[in-house]
Amino acid sequence: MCKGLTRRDWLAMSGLAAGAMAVPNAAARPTPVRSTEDARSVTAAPAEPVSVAKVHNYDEDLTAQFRKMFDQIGGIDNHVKGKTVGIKVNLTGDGRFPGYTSGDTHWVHPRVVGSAVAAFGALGAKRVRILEGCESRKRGYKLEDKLLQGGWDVNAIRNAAPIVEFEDTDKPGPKQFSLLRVKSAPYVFPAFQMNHSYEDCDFFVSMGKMKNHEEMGLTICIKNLFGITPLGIYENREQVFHYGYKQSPSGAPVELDPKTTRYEGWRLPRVLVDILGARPVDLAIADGIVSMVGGEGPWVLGSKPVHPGILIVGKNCVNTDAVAAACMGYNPRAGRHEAPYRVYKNPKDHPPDQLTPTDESFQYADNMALLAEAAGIGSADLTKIEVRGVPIKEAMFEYEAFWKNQMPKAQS
Amino acid sequence: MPRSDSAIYGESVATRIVVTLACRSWTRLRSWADHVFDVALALASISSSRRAISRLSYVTGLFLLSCTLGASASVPPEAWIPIRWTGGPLELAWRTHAKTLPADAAGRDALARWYEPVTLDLLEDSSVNCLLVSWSASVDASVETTQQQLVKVYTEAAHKRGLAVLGLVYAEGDASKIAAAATQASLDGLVLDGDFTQEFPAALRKAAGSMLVIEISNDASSARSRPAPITAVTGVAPSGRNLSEMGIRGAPSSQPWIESNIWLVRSFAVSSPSRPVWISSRLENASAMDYARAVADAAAAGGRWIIALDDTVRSKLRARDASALETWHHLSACLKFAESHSAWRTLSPYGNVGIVLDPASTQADLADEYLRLAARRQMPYRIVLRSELGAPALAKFRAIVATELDPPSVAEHKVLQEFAENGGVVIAGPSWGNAPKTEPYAELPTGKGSLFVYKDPDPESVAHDLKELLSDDDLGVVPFNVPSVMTVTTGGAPGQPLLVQLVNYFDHPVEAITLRVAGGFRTARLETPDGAAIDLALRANEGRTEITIPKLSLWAAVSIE
Repeated sequence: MCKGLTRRDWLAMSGLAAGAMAVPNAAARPTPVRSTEDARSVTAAPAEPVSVAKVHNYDEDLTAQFRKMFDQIGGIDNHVKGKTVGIKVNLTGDGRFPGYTSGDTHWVHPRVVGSAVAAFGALGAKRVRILEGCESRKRGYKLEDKLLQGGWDVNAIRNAAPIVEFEDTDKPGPKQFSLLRVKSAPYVFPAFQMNHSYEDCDFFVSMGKMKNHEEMGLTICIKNLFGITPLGIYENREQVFHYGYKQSPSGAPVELDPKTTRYEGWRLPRVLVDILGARPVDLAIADGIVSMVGGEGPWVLGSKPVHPGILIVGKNCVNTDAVAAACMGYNPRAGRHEAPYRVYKNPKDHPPDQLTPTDESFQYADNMALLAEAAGIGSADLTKIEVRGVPIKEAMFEYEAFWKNQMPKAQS
Repeated sequence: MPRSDSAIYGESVATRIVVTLACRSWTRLRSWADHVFDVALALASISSSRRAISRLSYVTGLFLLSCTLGASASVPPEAWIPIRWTGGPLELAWRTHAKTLPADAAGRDALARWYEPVTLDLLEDSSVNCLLVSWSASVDASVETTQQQLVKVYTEAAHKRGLAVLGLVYAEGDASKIAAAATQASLDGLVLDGDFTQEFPAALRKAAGSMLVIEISNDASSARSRPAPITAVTGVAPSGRNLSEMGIRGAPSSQPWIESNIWLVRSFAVSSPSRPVWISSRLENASAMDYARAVADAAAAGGRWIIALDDTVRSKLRARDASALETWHHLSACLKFAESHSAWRTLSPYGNVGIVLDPASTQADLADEYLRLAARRQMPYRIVLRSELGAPALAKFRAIVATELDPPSVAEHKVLQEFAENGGVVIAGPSWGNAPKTEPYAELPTGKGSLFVYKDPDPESVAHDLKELLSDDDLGVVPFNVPSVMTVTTGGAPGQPLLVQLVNYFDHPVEAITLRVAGGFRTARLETPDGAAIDLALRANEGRTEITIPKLSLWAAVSIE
């Protein structure tokens, strides 16, 4: 990781002067649309171009790479110039695979964050806010502290744009928590309480890691949004959102129908789509340069680091996740019975009622991209999404082989 | 501070006198020793403090011991760097009995011929200066006699090289015979390494007279309070593993499982800060890094690992095999680093958190678990003996873990209550009163500070909660990005550098570790066994100083002034 980088350094690495960021896009010509393997009915959800790049390691010039990818998806200059950009970064637990940093495998990498911040700064963003919940009760604990725990060079990121702020969104911040209503048709919750920065934000970025997820099958940019629900309000998010064992605390919006199934494979994907509906994403960035398979963090048994070498950017979070899923070797329209959504939960680590869904004979997670598509947020249909940059078949890295290896034979 | 400055000063002076006198003639010193011992007994008899007795006994014992050494090795016991140097027919017989004989012929041959003088050459350019040799195992009498004759010759050769030699006693036997033979062979001491009845160590000590008898104890709590010139205790093989490697599905917040002796070594400092502490542990299928780590793990806390090479490494070392030599050199580099910074051992523990320890507790394992897990949570702490719990002792703490007081006496209750009312943080168990019925702990309203009463305190929860209940300023030194690392913080008193040592328990290096230290500092210097010292940049941040260590392979020390 580069230490103590200034804004000039981030830009110099990209070989670009600040003024050069407005150069018209020459590489934005569309590539042929990839046909889908799935012929299910598709709603008329939005479909925006998605840019795919092969990036072999984090030492490459990511600022220039982002600039190119932003151009490929039609440019974001007008959306960020003079605006406040909020980036929800994907951090999670603090474990490590030996020889890897958390940013390599299960957090987004600090170089990806720093380079994106530099690119937004160069495009004229007034302010860039790095957002994530710290999940800490410690007095005076800041998001910067969590980043230091991951070995990040916080000062380098702070220097990547004129004004860079860090906010622990588990807390209300200087203001009270904001109420954000679900703008799409809600599945479970009509609204959520969130840190003010998710409201005081002109351009919202979900920056996720391309990983498997033990219970959800995949975690990319939609699943990343789970972390925007503040512990300062919801306290035990698993109890409230995953399992629905507890209702939202007093003052927070409650679920529409508390009689729906409590099975998390049904419930959580819908909650995630509701969160996306409450705080729509303006730009999705999926970091799959280095990642992991078999789970969302090294604590998941059988998980392991991988080097897919993929970076994906799109304006529509659902479109982006669909393309990312395809690049991971999955059918973006996969159903419950298919990989990666047919899951295996170790009985030792889950409540008994979470092991047996009421509506299926096997453990599953519903495909959150299809649910979001049905809610009209974005298409998960590759026939409708224009993939620019590197074609999916050239970028593809098969996660599924590793995922299957984790499952007992009877389940696979 | 766990003890007064005058006590530290007095002790270090006493130690220096002992070391100096050790170089003088035996006869003169013996009368000196008798005099000092008489004074010690007199002082001890009028002192109500068990620590005073312990300290005086230690100084006296060390003095006597140094005197005896005038006749043999030149290195005083506090400077002994021990290695298991077992071999000979007795070792073969004992290992046959224990069913731990090397499977390969080369390994057995190396053991059998270990006391050929050539093995002493292996120690050239090494800091090792104290050999633990196979001495007695109550096996066949003729084997024992042959062994002791062999060792006698070997000891003479070792002494010529300035090495001390201690005889390992594996099993109970005739204490008088064992001791007499040891004296005849000019051994510098005996080491009890096994399971013995309570009577045997005492009998051996009596028979050994002024010869040092070290007992490798399996029970840290009893060893902690037992006066002895050198404390040896069974420890663990230092290692670090992710829970998933152990087949355990942890939580996202789970940390790797680390086996370390750091807390154990530190726990002995409370009863006698300058007493040498030896850790006895065996490594299995160890790499060069594992051996170096075992040295670093003990040394960072101020102790010494009794170096124990496995049969394969020893066999290859004897044959001058390149990989074994590399292992040996790696280990030796760590030893040299430790011994070239022996002054670090004299730095007092740093910490604004005090953990009350009651040596008379019937739950010694639980008390040890607090010390172990607080260390694992990177919490700089100092131990407060229950007998010393009072306002003066608490004055330099910000938080006190008093769960060991079960229940606290009226006087202890009062002093802790006042400590909290004046701004301190107190963690107490249910016997304090007003414990919650459902929640893990309750905060009781208390003046300027905080009083947390646990319903059912367990060391893991308390250690975890403490990190969240205390601010960075309360903790004083906070390391970031250290899941596979243990830190030891010492010094920081006026005129002393603040020293933060870090040991990595994973084989892969850790990059970008940040230390956040309360207060302002001007310099930070990084030293490691494998590179030149470098100055680190300091960043001032809201009344604190942040320092980034670019890379930690195994062991590093940052001196901050």
